[in-house]
Amino acid sequence: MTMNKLITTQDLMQLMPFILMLAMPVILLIIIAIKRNHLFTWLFTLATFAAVLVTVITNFNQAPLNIALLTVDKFSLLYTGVFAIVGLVITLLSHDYLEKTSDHKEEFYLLLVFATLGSSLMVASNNFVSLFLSLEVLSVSLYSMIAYLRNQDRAIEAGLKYLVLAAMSSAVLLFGIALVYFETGVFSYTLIGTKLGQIGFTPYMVAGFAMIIAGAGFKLSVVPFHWWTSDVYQGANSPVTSFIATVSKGGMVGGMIRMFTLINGLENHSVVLVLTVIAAASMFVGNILALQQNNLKRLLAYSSIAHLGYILIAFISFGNGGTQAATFYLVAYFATTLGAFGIISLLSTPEGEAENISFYKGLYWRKPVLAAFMTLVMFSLAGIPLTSGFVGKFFVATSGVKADLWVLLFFLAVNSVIGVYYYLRVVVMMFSNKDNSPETIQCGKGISSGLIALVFIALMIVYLGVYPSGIMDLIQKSIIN
Amino acid sequence: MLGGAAAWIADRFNKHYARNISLVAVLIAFAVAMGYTAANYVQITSSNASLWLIDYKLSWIPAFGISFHLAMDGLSLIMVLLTLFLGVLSVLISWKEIKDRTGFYYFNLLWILAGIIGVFTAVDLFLFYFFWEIMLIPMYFLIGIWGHERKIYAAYKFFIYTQASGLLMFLAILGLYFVHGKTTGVYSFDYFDLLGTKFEPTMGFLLMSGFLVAFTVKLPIVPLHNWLPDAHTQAPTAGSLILAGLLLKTGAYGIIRFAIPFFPDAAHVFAPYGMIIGTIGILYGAKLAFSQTDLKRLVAYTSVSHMGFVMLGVWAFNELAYQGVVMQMVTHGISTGALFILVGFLYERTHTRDINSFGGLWAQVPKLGTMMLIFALASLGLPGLGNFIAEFLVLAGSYQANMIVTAIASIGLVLGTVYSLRIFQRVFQGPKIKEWTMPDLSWRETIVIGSLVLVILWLGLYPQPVIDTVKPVIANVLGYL
Repeated sequence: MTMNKLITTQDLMQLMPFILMLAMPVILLIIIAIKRNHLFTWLFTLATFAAVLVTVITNFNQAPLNIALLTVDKFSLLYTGVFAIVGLVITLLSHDYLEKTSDHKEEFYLLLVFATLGSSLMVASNNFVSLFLSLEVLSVSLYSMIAYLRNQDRAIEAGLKYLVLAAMSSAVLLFGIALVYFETGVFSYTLIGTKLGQIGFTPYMVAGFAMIIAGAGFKLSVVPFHWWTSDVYQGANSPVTSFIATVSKGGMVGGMIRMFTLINGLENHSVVLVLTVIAAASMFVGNILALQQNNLKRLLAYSSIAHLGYILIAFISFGNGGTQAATFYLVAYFATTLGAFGIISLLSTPEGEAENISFYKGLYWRKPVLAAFMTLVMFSLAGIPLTSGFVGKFFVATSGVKADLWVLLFFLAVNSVIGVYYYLRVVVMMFSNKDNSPETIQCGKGISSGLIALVFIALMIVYLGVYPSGIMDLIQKSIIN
Repeated sequence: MLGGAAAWIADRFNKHYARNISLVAVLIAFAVAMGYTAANYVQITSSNASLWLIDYKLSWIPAFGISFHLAMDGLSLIMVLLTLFLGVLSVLISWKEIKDRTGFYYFNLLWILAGIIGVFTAVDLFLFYFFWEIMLIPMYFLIGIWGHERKIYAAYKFFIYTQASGLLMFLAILGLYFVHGKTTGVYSFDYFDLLGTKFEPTMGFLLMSGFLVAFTVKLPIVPLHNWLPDAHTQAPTAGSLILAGLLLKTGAYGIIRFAIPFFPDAAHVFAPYGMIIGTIGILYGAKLAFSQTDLKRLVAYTSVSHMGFVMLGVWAFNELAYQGVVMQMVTHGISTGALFILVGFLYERTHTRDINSFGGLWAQVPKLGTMMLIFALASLGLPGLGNFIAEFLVLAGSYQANMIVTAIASIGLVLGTVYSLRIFQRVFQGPKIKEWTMPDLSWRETIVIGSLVLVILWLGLYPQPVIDTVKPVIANVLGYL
């Protein structure tokens, strides 16, 4: 595989999305050192993501490029493209938010682009070395992003918590990689896959995979690796939280899909069993804990645990359209989560975030447009027709039925009902009477960039919910064989 | 026609004269449907009418064999006409009752109607589920925002019951889809493709149960009826009207259209139990109706009792019973709807629904009293009014199938007399408990109730058009058995 060839211009062009995400922040860094300007930095970041998106689109139909550490194929380009769009939206949302809350705003965007790079590389990794490196690029950027508002205790606390736990999980992951390496002597997924075919799942291999799953599970915040989720979600500022919930998890899902496809890791019963238990536990624990939350960000944190459980169902039903379903669900979930956190950050004030559910009491009569968006988002999370969440669940259920995972599907149905309860609670809150609601809180007026982002997200949610064929065809084309 | 329904949804939000616009919209839709029926009347009712009157198909998600496929046969036509007729009335009765947030109110109201029409006409199972869910959400809002004292509780209960059962149906739909796909190689959600799928007995029975749970929760059937009294009682008048008149009918419609033709073998196994459950429903509903003091709750329990007849007839598998079931669906929609409207009128005047606080109202509101008498008589099955035809046909049909059960079920008629007359007696006759001052029916109210009286009389005296219209449908359904 690893041929000693010179890098051609063609290769460089194909690596362009990643090169862009690497180069632009460096340029930005120099510019910031010379002169700070929020608007300029912001526009520059937008341009970066837009350029990444353009290169992804132009490269999409190229033959896959395999170099030592990375595979640039349709699958990784699709994920990179989606991440770029998400990055774009988060950038749009961050402007108002940072303007309101932070005194030094420019570096945030550097970290954002770097973290996106890490996630994109994770999906492109064909090798444990690059997987780990890209994971660290992502994690290190995230530590500082979470603690970015350094004058807030909660942000610092969340950042530290994340730092300690992420470092732990990286160590576990690394140890798992080492065990697999010990048995096979190679890092590349495909070579491990061939070796595995010869030697089978030895105890060391099983232990190695268990540790890799644990390390990955931390990033995905599935039970029992979920303890950090609610505190970090609550402590980090909303744009960052939305990043953790989307790009960071998406990168790990994409990376795992590639790894397990190439290694054929799901041939093994104990691996499947472990994943099944994790999926079931995530759904139940996430949803049941979410029932009692009065803080919207914590509620979304627990609901994300449950949603990752749903994605795992698709993941387990691998060959049966599961990869497509997982990818679609991820895209649908991205749109929805961005919407939720987008609204929170739009409503937030310098004094605090709009995270208490009682804040949303009677929102419909104060801010009809935002409340309508929030309703749409909650419906999508609950999986109600006409929204992306519904179609996503449909695809997950379809792949589950194909793979005969009836028990998990039954859990999915039960959990959807539990989920409906607390999502509707938010909706009911917004539509309840305006009297005895807390005093009207002033928040951003007029048309802001964040609002544009929200309109885009709302359109995406409905588009994916009504006409999923377009995206599904794209996903179908990008599947790794 | 559904395109029309969707169109009114779009431009309706936030309009000031929402009630006028929605009245016009429903009237137009009703006129279109009536016009269609009148124009094709001879053809529809002729003995050699083709089964499907309208068939409209658009490709939607071709990758999964999902299409936007609507079709209408005699049964759908009758139900759609009923929907639009009650739709007009529900707008009219909300005229004064709903004072705040009218725009959103009518938006929900019309959306329910659109969803119900969709349910009655969809012949793609995915689309069917889609509409099935669509009609829930606005109903949830209708109860949750404009309901009475315990509205939030009732709305949750309603939503969770129906959502949970709906998800089970969804799993059953997916199961059906894959069983069919595996045996024939054609993956499709289309009703016509899926008909005649062969099952192993257990699989068929499980899948049918999935459908049945959803339909019988809607109907509702006794162990699953718990949501109904709360939802009916707490909903605003128009909400109760639509719930009783239309939503319950979707359950019966689903059994006739989907559950029985898809799973004839399983249906035969289930039939005796179905009839017994139906009988229990008749007696239990009647008994509870008698012991209620809240007028709306009382009427709600009569629904449970009446729907027991539907359940009884559906499992008798002969033409007589099926004609009765369809008649019961229509006449129950009219008569119970009318009772809810009348109770709503009383409530508007007195702000109480407690049967013990009324008495001797006849002298004051003779018109209201007369109307109440007519519909109380209809509800007990007086010859000459529609319900008599319906219940008679059901009992005559089920007598052929199971004599003992039918004999027990007929006791329900006696009990019906008891509770129906009790309503009238306690409210309009006897000593005055309290001095009420109230106006008699206004012109608007007279139109509403008058039209219902005309329809129930027409159905009682000359039910032939309805019978002729559904004849080919019934022959077709029985053909699958």
